[in-house]
Amino acid sequence: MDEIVKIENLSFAYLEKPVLEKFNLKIKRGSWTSIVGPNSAGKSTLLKLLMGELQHQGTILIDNQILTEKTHQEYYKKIYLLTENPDDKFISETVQDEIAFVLENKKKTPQEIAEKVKSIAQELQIEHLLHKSPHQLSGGEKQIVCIAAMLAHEPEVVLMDETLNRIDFAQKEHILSLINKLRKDRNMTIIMVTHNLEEIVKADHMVVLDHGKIVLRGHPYKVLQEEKILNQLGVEIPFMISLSLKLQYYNLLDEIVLDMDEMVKKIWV
Amino acid sequence: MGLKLDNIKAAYGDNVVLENINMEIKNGLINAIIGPCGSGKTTLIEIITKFQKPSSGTVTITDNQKIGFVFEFPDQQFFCATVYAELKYGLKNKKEEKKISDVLKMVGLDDDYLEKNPHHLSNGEKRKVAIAAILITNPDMIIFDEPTVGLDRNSKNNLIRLMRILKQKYQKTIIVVSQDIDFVYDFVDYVYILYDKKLVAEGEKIALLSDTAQLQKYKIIPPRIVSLTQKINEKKNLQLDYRDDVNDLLKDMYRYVK
Amino acid sequence: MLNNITIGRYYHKKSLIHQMNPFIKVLCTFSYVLIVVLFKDFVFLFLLLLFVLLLALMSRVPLYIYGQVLWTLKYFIITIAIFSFLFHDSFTEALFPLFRLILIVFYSSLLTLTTSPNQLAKGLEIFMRPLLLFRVPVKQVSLSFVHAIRFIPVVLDTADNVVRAQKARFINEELSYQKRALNAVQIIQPTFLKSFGKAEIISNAMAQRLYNLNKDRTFYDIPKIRFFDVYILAIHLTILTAIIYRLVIG
Repeated sequence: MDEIVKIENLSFAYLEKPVLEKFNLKIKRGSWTSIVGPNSAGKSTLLKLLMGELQHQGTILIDNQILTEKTHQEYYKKIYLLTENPDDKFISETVQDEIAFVLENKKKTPQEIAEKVKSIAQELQIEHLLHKSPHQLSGGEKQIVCIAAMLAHEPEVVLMDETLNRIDFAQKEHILSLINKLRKDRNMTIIMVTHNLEEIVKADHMVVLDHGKIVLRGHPYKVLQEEKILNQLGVEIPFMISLSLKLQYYNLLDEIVLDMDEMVKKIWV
Repeated sequence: MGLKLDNIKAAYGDNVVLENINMEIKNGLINAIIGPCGSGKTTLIEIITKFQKPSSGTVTITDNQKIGFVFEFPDQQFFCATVYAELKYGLKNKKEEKKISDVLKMVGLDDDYLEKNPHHLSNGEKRKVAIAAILITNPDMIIFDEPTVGLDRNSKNNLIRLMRILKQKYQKTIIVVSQDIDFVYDFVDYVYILYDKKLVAEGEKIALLSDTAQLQKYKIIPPRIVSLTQKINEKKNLQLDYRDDVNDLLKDMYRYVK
Repeated sequence: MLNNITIGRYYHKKSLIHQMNPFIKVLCTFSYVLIVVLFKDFVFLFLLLLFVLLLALMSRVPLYIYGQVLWTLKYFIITIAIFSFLFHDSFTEALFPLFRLILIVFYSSLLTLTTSPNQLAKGLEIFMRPLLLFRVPVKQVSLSFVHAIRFIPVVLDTADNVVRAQKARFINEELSYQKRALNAVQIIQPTFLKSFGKAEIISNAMAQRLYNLNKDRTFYDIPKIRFFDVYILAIHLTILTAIIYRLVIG
C-alpha cells in the first residue's frame, strides 16, 4: 500500500502542556482526508507541524522525504498549504508574479514560466486577473489564485486549513469540485481541516480528533452516523444527516439521504 | 430609535461602493446585514463605526450611544501581549479593574487566561477574548463581523446564548454581518439585504428570508429550513408554516401525518 | 487613514515606462539623482521637474498617486525645510535642498510605482554587479534592499490596523487628552511586534514556496532593452555628462 504521509510518534507541547503525544497517522496517496474536531483539539497544531513551522519530536515523512531543519528545501517540494486568510501570505504585487514565484525558484526558463503561467490561468479561468494585485480580489478569487500558485508548485500533498470558510456557497461548490478534479488528474493527496461538515461529505476519509488523539476514523458516512460521540465532542453534524436522523426518529424516513429533493420524495413513502 | 443613516454614499474616486443608503436601526433588536460578496457590507460597517467617512450623507446616533465593534479576525483586533492588558485597555479608570474577571466569565473563560498571550489561544478562545475586550467598554450597540466563521457547534451555541443574554438582560442592540444564512435565520430578529451597493430589502426575518424568489434575485441562497419547507409544500401539496427551528417544522410535519 | 500610502508600492499599468528594462530604469534614476544634486540653478531644476512630470504622465499612473507619496512624506519634508532654513542665510539658498528632495522623491516613486519588486531586485542586482569585485554579496544586498522597501507598506498596514483596533474600543466617545496621548504612545510597540510577526509569516510562506536567498533563481518577466529605453537613457547621460563637463572645466 502506498502511504504518502507517515507521521510516527509525533509529540508537541505548548507551554509545557502536551497538545499532541505520540501521535501516529498514515495517509494513502491520492486520498482526500478531512480532519475534524472541536476548537483546540490540536488540528491547527498538526498542520503547523506538518508545515515545519513548529519544532517537533518524532518523525514526519512525506513521499519518503523526512522533515528536519536541514531537509526543509526538499521537503517543501512535496507539500503545499492553502490557508483561510491568504492575504497574509501573498508575496507578489500581481497575480502573474504570484503564480510565477515558485517557478522562478525552481529555475525554470522564462519561456517555460510564461507558458506554465498561461496554461494554469487558462485551466482555472483567471486570465483576466493576471495583472491585478492579489490583495484587490474578492475572497473567492483570492483562493483560486492560491490554487493557481499551488498548481505551479506541483506538490504531492495539499493541506487545506479551513480554506473555504469565507467563501460564499456558490463559489465553494466550484472550488471544491475544482480541487477534486485536480486531485484525480494529478493523483494529489488532500488533507483538509474544517468545521464545515458539508465539505466533509466530499472527502473519502475522515479523522476525528479530540485532545490530540484520534477518536474516530473511516469513511465520512460511517463516521457521521456516530451521532452520540460527535455530539459529545461538539462536532456539528451536517444538516442533511441530522435531518435524516430526526426524520427517522419521527418514522417519516427510513435511511440517510443527502440530497434535499430526493429526501422530499422519500418522505411518507 | 438608535442609529440612523441618511442618504449615505461612499466612493473611492469614480468607484462607487455604496449609494442611496437610508437605514434606521432600532434599539434592542438583533439585526443582521446580509448580501453577496462585493455588495458593500464592509464599507457600510466602516461608516457606522466611523472608520470611514461617507462621501455624502449623515450618520446620526441618538443619545450618544456607544458602539463596540468585534473584528472579523480576532488576531487583527489584538494588540497587547496579555489577555489582561487587552481587556484593561477598554477601561477608563483603574477602579473598574474588577470588571475584567466579570467580563471574562460572561464569555465563558476564567482568570487563568489573564496572563496568556491572546495571539496564542485557539480559534474559539480568541473569539471569546475579542468579544470580552469589547464588552468591557460597555457599549450600547455591538457590531459583530462574521462572528460564526470557524467556530465549532458548541462555540456557536455559546455565542448565540451570549448574544441573547446581551439583548434580553442588558438591552443591547446587536448587528451581525454574516454570510452564514442558517445562523442568521436561526437567531436574528430583523434583516437588511444589501445588493449591488444599495439597500434593497429589509424586514422581519421569517417574512424576508422565506421569499425565495426575492432572495434569488439578490444572489442569496435561502436558509435550508426554508428550502425544505418550500419543497415539501410543493411536492406534497401542503401548507406548512415557515419555522426558524427544525424541530418545530418536524413537529408540524408529524401532526400532518397523523 | 494610513492604508492609502503608496511608498514602495507597485501600480500596474501598460505603459512605455512600465515596459522599460529595470536595469535601465535604475541607471536613469541614479543619473537623475546625480544631476539634481550636482546642479544648482532654479530654471534648470524647474526644467528637471517638467521632465519628471512628462515621464510621470507617460507612466499612465494617475498624478494624484505621486501627490500621495509626497503627502505621506510631508513631515520629513517639513523637517528638512526647517533645517535648511536654519542653516542657510538667504531664502533662495534654503529652497534648493527642499526642491531637490521633492524632485528625488518624485523620481524614485516613478521608479517604484512602475517597476514590480521582482524586476526592481533584478535591476538593482545588475546595477550593483561591479561591487562583486569587492566581494559584496550583490544579490543578497539588492534583495534585502527591495524587501526593505516592500516592508514599508506592511508596517504601515499594521500600524493602521492597530489604530483601528484601538478605535474600535471607543467608537463615538469623547476621550480625555490624557487618554488620547496614552493611546498614541501605545501604537508604537504593538506595531513593532506585529510587523515582526508578519515578516515571519511572509518569510515562512516564501520558504514553503521553495525560495532560498542563497540559491539562484530565474526572473521570468524582465523586459528586453528596446529603442525607447536607450533613448531615455541617452537623454539622462547627455545631461549628466554636460554637467560634469561644466563642473570640471568651469
